Amino acid sequence: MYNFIFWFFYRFFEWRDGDRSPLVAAVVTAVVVLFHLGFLYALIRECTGFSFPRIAGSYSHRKAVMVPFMIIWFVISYLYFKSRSSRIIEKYGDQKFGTFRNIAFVIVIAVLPLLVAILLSRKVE
Amino acid sequence: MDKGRFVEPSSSGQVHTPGTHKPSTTTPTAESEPQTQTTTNSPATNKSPLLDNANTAVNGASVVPSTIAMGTEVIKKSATYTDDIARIGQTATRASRILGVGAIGLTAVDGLSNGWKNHHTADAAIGAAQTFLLGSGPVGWGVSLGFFVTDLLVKAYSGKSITEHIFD
Repeated sequence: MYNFIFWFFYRFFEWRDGDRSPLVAAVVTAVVVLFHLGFLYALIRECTGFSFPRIAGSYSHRKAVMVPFMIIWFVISYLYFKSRSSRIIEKYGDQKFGTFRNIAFVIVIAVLPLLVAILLSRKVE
Repeated sequence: MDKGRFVEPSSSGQVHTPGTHKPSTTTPTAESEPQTQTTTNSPATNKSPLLDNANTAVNGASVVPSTIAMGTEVIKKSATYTDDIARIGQTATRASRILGVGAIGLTAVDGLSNGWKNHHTADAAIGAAQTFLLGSGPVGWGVSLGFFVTDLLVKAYSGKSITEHIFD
């Protein structure tokens, strides 16, 4: 599933910018993984009431605190996909990335869990 | 000075052609006298038979090959500069994509852990538009940079971001 996401965004940025580096696609895949973790967390919080301690401070401060962790997460994702990128790209071959089926699949995988998680997280104060 | 000279020697007696400092690429076209390359501007040098045919050779260094070499060097350098500019552009585009995606990730994590507010939706939508819809290049970078700087100024002045002001 994540290999497909990686391949889709690799092809997307190759088409858009002529960028043949796995870096941006790996970063996008890392964010999709975060969406899924957020979805799971929202689901668990909704069902059990369990929640992690929150970062104190304003919105900007919280985001600033999370930046180093995000960078580390991106580096891990890049290192993971860097060695596997050629194999993943070979696996999917030269098929077009922008088909209705592929776009719908990406929306279902990446956007739908985020939307559900957002709906579940709106009640949190 | 002799008339009809194509390139005149400098005060040191040498012809300086930028990019080519190799007087060894000499193809003498004058009489086959023993060539003695001097770096002084002595009268004896100026009266050399080589300099009588100075359209093609100065101080034993042929002008035409050195001119061609100079042109080749200029083309090489400009090609390198073009490559560098393209590389810088691609790096900037890549960096803007990563920053945009990173901003979406940070917004999502903050919203899902602290309760999703309207400004999270706005920030995610703006980040997605900047990352995926705005083209790479000066327009996209300008819009993104303009929004980023304005947001920083608003935060510094009021403690809240633009989207927090508008949507909350």
